[in-house]
Amino acid sequence: MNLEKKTSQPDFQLERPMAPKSSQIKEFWLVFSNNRLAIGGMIIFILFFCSALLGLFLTSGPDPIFDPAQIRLQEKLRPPLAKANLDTLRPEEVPRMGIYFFGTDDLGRDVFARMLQGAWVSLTVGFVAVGIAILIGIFMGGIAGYFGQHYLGAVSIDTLIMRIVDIMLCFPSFFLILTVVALLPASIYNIMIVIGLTSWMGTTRFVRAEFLSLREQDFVVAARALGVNNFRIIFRHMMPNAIAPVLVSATIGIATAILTEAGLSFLGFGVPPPHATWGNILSDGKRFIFDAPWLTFIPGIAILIVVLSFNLFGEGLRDSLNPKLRQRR
Amino acid sequence: MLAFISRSIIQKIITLFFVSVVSFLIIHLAPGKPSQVDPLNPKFTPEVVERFRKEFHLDKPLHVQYLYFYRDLFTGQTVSWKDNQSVLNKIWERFLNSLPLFIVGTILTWTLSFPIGIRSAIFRGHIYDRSTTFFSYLMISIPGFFFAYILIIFVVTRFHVPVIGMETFGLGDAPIPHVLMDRIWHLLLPSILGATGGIAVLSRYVRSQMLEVEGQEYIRTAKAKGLPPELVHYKHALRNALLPFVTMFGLILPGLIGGSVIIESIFSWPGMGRMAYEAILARDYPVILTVNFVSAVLVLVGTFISDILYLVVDPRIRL
Amino acid sequence: MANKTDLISVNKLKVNFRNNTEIARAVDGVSYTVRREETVCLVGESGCGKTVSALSILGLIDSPPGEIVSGEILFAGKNLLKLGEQELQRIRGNHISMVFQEPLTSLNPVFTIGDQITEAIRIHKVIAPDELYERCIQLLKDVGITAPQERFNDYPHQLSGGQRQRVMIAMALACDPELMIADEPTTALDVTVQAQILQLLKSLQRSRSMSVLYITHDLGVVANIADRVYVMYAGIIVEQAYTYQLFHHPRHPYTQGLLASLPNLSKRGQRLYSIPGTVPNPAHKPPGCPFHPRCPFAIDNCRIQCPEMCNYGNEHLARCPVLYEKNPDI
Repeated sequence: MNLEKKTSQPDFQLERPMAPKSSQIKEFWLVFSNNRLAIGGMIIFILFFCSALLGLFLTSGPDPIFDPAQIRLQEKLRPPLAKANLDTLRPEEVPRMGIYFFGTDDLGRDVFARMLQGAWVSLTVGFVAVGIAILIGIFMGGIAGYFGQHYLGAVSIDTLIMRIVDIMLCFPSFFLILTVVALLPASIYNIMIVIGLTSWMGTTRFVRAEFLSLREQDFVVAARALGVNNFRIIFRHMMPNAIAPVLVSATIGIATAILTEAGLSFLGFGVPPPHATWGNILSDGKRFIFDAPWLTFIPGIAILIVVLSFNLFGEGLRDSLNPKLRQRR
Repeated sequence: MLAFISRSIIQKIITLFFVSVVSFLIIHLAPGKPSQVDPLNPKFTPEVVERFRKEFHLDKPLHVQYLYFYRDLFTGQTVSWKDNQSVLNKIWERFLNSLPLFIVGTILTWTLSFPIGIRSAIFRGHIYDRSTTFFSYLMISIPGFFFAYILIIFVVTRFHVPVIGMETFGLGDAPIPHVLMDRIWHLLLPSILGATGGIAVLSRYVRSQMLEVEGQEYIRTAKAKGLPPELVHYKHALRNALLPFVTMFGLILPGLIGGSVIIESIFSWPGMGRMAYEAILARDYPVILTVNFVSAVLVLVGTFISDILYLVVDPRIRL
Repeated sequence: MANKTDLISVNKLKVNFRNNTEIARAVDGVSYTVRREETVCLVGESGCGKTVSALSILGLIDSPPGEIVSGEILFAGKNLLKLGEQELQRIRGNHISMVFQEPLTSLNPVFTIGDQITEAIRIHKVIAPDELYERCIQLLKDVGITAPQERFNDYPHQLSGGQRQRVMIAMALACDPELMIADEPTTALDVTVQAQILQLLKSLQRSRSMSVLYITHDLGVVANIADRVYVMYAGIIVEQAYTYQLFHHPRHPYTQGLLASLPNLSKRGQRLYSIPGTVPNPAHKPPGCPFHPRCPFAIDNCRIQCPEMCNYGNEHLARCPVLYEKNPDI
């Protein structure tokens, strides 16, 4: 046919169809930046992160700029923005700029300094606990999803791991955390570890599900057909595809961990002194709720805002990373 | 069907066995032996401790202790270390106290979440959807006890009613409507608090489930048939969207125990959660273990009911 | 044939899909007509806008992201685009019905097929329950379902793919519509089942004297059932003709390319032709004739201006003046 001859002639040049090239990250950002709640969440997330880091520097060391541990009994329960009473304080007791930005607590400690210190502690508790949970979750879920069909004696690895998950899910989680934390000696590390050890089941479940579907996909089968070893298949080919939902659940997990720590503090099993966390500032403050409401409201609202921003950021991530939702937008 | 049920029951019993082992181990391997109950207490002389150890078989190896404990539990002989009362009786008593909270909370959660979630799915992107979304996240993110204090301050200063505890003392001979109102006021705050988190989570879930279903092709078919939007949404979409929630209905059972520790402590509500908390404080191991065991049983029964319900409601699953 | 009256005519329809950042002109000024008692095929590659143009007839474009920008759809003297939602509901399923591509996902899994078929009748007609049942059984018989009484209470997952599509067709026929839109109803089915369903549609069209707008990408199907054909490319109609004419005297390079890429016995041993390049992204269409980057006959003017429809007589129109000028013989 005429047409066929024409296209096979050497002088026919196919003009490129103009399809726009945009990277995955750019596309992700396009969707994400449209979600105002998520952007707000991310900004607060970053601010919180910075202020926690800043707080670490400002409140630690031998002569901290804001001293969270300085006790001034004569200045107790001063309201926020109160000027320090310079006559009764020794020079080293005077707060920076002579002002208590967030007031003082029942021991006359500067709440602003304690909040700064607590930001870092709360952040560490959240990150470490979630880090532990995510590591266990990826490990268990990855094994169950990838090596699930192998048998250990009578049961397959997959069955074994999923039964362990079932068993863990039978414990009422907050009650379990409370029991263990109460039995163990009080320490910030125990709290992080216990929260981490009791919250890995969700991650395990969806990493497994993700791996189960990924290992059937052609690019993984192709990689295996090419003789790529298991280690490389898992970490080079499958992990990058499974990591997005893990990130999302980590973000939300940090929020949950901060709330859990606050709940433990409230019941008297939280991070022990001298560490200040937002949870224990709040639970100390509750005794003075009518006399000094700022002791309850400042940490309460701070926790609320930070946890809210983590949740909004996480949900925004989920929406932008989920291709199914992305199409429907 | 029968094979499925019996297999499921056997599986759940095995799981329960491991749960009992794990919880026993957690408690007994934790530093601080049960026999060292408050060594500073002058009443606990070495002889008393010795008798105590004998009485509760604490001198035996761990696996024997395990057998003794669960034998006692199943024969109903387990007693609290604190006051030597039967643990099962104690739990039953507290359970009856928790029940009204649980029932009101559950009713609030399930009746409010669905209309909220469905509406915001249908009006996706509108102002209603956006504000419920934000409000839900607010409710999920607020620390429960902080919210409780805000509500307590609000209600106490505004309505001048007492809200702590289950009832006001000394109302013995007050007229019945008065006593009733008093009870309702006391019930209101803790059950609202217990429900808010649930409403926020569940309504989000209802919304996403509805959206998922509304994107399906059979919804387009229904519209192409000329059905009015009400029929499309509330017959074709809702029926499919509801399927997963039927299964969740079994999962509310464990809520009888978990989740209420903080709320019951704030409101001095003598329920299960508070009993568990007190038991932890007193290291009253039989109570802790029994509560754990009972809640594991509830979780397993709940999932079992869910599985069965799914079989009943989804025509695609037939065994 | 040409004296039949128009049943529905779509005029200069434009539908856009709005993304966060881009506007995709999915349907970009499409006009076509379906007359009474004829079968019209809308042919094109996936993503060329044929399904969207059919869905806009029933007002089923999700908005957002879709948006009908301009044009009109005349059906029985009324412009469907101007009708309110309630008036449209009275037309959907009653006067115009639709069969979709994927019979499994297009049937609601939690209702019996009897319920789903009778639903449309209950909505649109006043009818006694036992008569309703009889009618449904008759419909199931008409679409060739064996033992319809037993199937009545079955759920969609209990049927085979071909049976499901028959149920979909029964559903579309339920109210005796004047027009049935079939959106690739055979694509998801096995080849043997495909032939059966096509045969069924053909005989139903004749026996019920309705019109069918058949959407497909398969020229084999077109040759089998169509009276007239519209070829779509990148949101516009590039050629329209009676079926015989189109297959023997294609006047647009795209149609020519499609025909050339059909396998047939005379080409045994030759390499099968394929049109070079790919379909343009609807949000980034090239200027001028959308086909010009892939067209071996393209001249400079094609890159600047999209040609108008050229009339080649006997209702044969094509949007390409170049091909005929260069090769009047084909």
